[in-house]
Amino acid sequence: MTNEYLCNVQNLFFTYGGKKNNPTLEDVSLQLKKGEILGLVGESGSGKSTLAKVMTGLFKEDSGTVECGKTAMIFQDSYSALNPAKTVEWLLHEVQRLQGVKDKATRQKEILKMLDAVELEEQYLNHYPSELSGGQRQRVMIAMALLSKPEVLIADEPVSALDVTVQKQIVSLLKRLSHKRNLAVLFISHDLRTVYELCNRVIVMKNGKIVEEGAKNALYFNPKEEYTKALLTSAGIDWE
Amino acid sequence: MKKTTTNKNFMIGFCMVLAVLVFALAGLVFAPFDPEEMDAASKLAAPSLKHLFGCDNFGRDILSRVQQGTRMTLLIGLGSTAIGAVIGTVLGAVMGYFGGLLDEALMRIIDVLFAIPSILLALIFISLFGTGTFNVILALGFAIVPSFAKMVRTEFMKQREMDYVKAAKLMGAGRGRILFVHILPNVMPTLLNCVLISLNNAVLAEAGMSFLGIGVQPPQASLGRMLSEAQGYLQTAPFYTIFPGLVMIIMLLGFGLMSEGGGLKDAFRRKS
Ligand SMILES: Nc1ncnc2c1ncn2[C@@H]1O[C@H](COP(=O)(O)OP(=O)(O)OP(=O)(O)O)[C@@H](O)[C@H]1O
Ligand SMILES: [Mg+2]
Repeated sequence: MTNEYLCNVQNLFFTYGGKKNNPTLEDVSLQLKKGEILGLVGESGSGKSTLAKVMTGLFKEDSGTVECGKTAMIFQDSYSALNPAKTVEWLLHEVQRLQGVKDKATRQKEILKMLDAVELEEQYLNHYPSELSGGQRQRVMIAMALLSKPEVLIADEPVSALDVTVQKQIVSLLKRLSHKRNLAVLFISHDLRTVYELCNRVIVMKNGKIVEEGAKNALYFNPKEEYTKALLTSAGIDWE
Repeated sequence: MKKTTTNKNFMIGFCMVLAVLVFALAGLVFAPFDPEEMDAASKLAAPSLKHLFGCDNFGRDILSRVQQGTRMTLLIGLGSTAIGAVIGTVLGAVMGYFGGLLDEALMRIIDVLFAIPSILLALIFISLFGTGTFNVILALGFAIVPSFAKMVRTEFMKQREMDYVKAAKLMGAGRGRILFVHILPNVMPTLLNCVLISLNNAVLAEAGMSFLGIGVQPPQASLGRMLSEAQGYLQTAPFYTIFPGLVMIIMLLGFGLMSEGGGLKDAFRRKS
């Protein structure tokens, strides 16, 4: 890894088993710098989640290179991403146990600090995920991700399932936390307005390929590709 | 409304099993007679104040024997279920989570074993390794393995697709930890239900084996053994059949009520 990038993806190819001639990711390259929030947009099925899973190492790339610092991931479906049989407290302890933090009191102290950071009240510690609202579950996931002390945070549609006010809260929370901890964030979303609010730079993906990439304002107000223009138009954003 | 009835069933079943358990264990402290002591004078004596449940064809006190027999039946049921559940769970977990060739090969074997009735499997086992209480437990235990493995495998195949498993992997949890600390608790309600059903089956299978003469060997008592011994005296001494039969029915009904309608799911999950 070069020093300037926390995450460097080069010429990545990936195909799901059984789909030989039709790669799901085709020649994808992207870089993430410290403290940067990179937006990844594209229509459903364009390969955004697949890219996230290859970047975290859950799937192995066919060719190309993925070099990322310590990565944590926030999954789209917070219902499936939190173990239903465990309490919030157990989950937050477990992340740290797996980090090798042996002392329970130390872990507990970290948990209380983290709850404060993600703005979740202490009373929810002994709740099960099914007893939380969507926004609260999302906060628990963010807390878990941050407790694993990542350099890179990949957030796969973290707010798509939430209502607008809660979306706003979570987005501003992510913004503050990434700033404070100097995290590199890959923010995946199909909501172009949220991406605009949060990100510095944006990548547009279509059929597994990156079609356009640029600084937020350049891409939103001076799009080059027809596909990007169409996305902006359908999001009701006046790019002309 | 639905939930209260299932909880009620669970509690009634639980009380029945508890009553049987207390009855059987009480025999350890104050059984009225030595269950193997014969008394020629009271052969097939009807229930009386001295022998509350009457006496069998050797003049042994039926109450004391039913207590001992219940303990034996419970021991066999619990022992074999424990063996079946532990081996079956580990097998099923590994098969369901990892899949692949090993899973396929094991699944073939399990399907074959599954097609053979448990009692027949146990019979084959006994004819290979001989009779005796310990072998009966082992035989039934191994006969139970396939059903547990199959159920647990299906559950693990479902669970492994959940994102929480991927999240655990990303956080650096090892395979063993993912299988038994992260996933297994989610399979627990189903597993415990299976345990109850399997206890039921084991009690019935033990009776069947005793009937065939390959179960518990005399002079030891088990509920199945007593029922098979009593069959010749159904008309002359009905109490000989009634008392062990009653205890067995209460026990089976108890397990059945507990497992019915996923009563355990409610008991193990605080809120829905
Ligand atoms: N496990 C899988 N096996 C085979 N194909 C898959 C699998 N997961 C996804 N795909 C396929 O890969 C392509 C990209 O899917 P992916 O989930 O990455 O899209 P996405 O951009 O995240 O879409 P969305 O916005 O709906 O989440 C789709 O055509 C999908 O059908
Ligand atoms: Mg997706």
